[in-house]
Amino acid sequence: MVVVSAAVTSMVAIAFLVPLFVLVSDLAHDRAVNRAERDAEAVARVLAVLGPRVGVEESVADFGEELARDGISVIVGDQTVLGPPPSESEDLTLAQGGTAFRDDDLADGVAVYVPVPRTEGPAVVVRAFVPADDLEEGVTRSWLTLGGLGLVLTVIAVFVADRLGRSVVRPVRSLSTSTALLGDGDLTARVTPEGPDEIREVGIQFNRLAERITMLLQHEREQAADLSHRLRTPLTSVRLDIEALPEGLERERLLDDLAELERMVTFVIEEARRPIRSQGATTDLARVLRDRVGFWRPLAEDQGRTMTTHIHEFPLPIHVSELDCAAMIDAILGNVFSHTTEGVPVDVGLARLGDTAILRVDDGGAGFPDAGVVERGRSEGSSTGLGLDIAKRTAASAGGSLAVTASRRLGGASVEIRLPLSEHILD
Amino acid sequence: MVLVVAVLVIEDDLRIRSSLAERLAERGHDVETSDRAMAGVELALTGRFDVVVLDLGLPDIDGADALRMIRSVSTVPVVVATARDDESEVIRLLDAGADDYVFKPYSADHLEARIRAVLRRTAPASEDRIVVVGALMMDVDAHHATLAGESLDLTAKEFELLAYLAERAGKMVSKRELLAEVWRQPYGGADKTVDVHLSWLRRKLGETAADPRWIHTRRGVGVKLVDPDA
Repeated sequence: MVVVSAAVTSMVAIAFLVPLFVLVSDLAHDRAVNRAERDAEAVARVLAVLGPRVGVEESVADFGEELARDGISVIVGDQTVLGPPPSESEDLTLAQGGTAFRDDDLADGVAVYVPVPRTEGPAVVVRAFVPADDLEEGVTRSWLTLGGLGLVLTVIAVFVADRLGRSVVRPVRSLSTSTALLGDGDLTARVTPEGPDEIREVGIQFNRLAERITMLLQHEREQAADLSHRLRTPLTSVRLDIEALPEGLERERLLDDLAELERMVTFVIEEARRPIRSQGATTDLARVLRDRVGFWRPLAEDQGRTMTTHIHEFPLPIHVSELDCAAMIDAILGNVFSHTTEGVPVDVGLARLGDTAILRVDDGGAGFPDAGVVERGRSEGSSTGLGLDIAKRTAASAGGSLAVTASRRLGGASVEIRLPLSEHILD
Repeated sequence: MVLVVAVLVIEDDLRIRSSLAERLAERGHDVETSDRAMAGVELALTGRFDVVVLDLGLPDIDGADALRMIRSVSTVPVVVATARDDESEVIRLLDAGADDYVFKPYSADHLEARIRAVLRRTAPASEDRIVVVGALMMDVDAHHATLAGESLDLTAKEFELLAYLAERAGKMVSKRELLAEVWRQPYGGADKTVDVHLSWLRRKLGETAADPRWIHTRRGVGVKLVDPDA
């Protein structure tokens, strides 16, 4: 931004300064020449009046020194020169013939010739000489003044342009950051409308868009929840009807199917009930993990499982509410307790890799039949996989991921969750 | 002992209404039904019923308003049936005067159990709510438990679970029943919720699963609380 401002203002300054330099130079030249012409004409007028009465020499005798100082000489005929003599290259014929003129082509300056006609013989010529130095008198000082002024103006212009530029760029950057956050699923992303009117308007519209998206999502969720709630009435009716059937395998099968359906409905409602906005909630994953491991440990001991832990000792803040974080961990640990036999060891690890927290739960059980367990309803056996699906969604909502692999540590299943760490510093 | 109860079911869904009436009648109860809140409230105020089962999604007036109308002039126990199982809904219903609640979908057994619980609690000569099993004493109303005179530090769920088992000391209780009665999740809920809470109770009662004294579990059947010194 500074470079662009400097380039533009420098070009503008140069565009104005170059003609000004030429103009100053011409003005100095003209001023010197005009003064010489005025002086020569004044002397000529004196000579024209006094010359015929007292003679040329007498006319200028009183102020000969002043004439010499001003570079003025009076040439009478071919021989007599009063004041500084003209150079040999000067041709006075034209002036002696009665024509006033100026010679700009002299090597060391400019000469002005003014004739004073006489009754007989060639005209007396008043010559005023301006040395080259006088032609440029004051030019250097003027140029330096102008150059300095140009430089000061350039610096001021760069500063102002930079400030103006920043006032445009800052809100655009903020807008870009918020758009990226919104794109990544952070529905709390908003901008503070600022900058020029157009950009401020874009900021206001962005906030409206984000509000609208949140509202639409909320509406969709409420509809899903409402529909699911309404499903519970016919489900109650079906349950009461099934319970009226005679005892037997068919009745049990129907009750099992119904229970599965009810779990699904409950899942949809719980999902819809989860807040869309995390409200910028940040939770220390390490602390919650230690807490939840502590909660499950008595069951592990009762079931004869060894439960080993390697938990990062410093806080690892993640973008998940404490409730969701605990539910995610409970889902994974509960899954191990539900799907492995008693006595099977469990290992819980939490490490930090750069700006990512890696939570891994390994067990020594039979392992997962396939990775479909994290897709709702795709798992084999009695589990619906809903627990892991909840954990997967929570991880995804915080910008992370969940992967299921074979455990290298214990030989059974390994569930690994990667979560980006929040920049927010926990107290 | 079979307790015969006069039940009023206020429910707009025809199938639920008729099925529920049938199921409860099969169990020997006197059942009347109403498909409208206003008509139901009028019936409830006749004083003929021991308990009212009130559905919240009624077409004429909001179930919570109907509940307030009943409560303003009558102390008849009301069990509310609701499809919304969130905490704020439960608080709203209890504030409006409900004595208990069931979440849809419920079974006839589950509803009947809640009716029994409500009648026990609201009976004029209510039985002592102090439950004693050996050295364990539980004041259910005060939510306070002691073991050999020492106060037990229990969470709300642990207390409810222990109280439920203590009230049925010596009887096997299935985990499904515990989920339905203590967690009120008759068909859902995490499989291991009950187990992990039982493990915590064991710690607090000073025993382990390998060496049980108070809490005895039988795989596939359930769990029971016994007095180890009996």
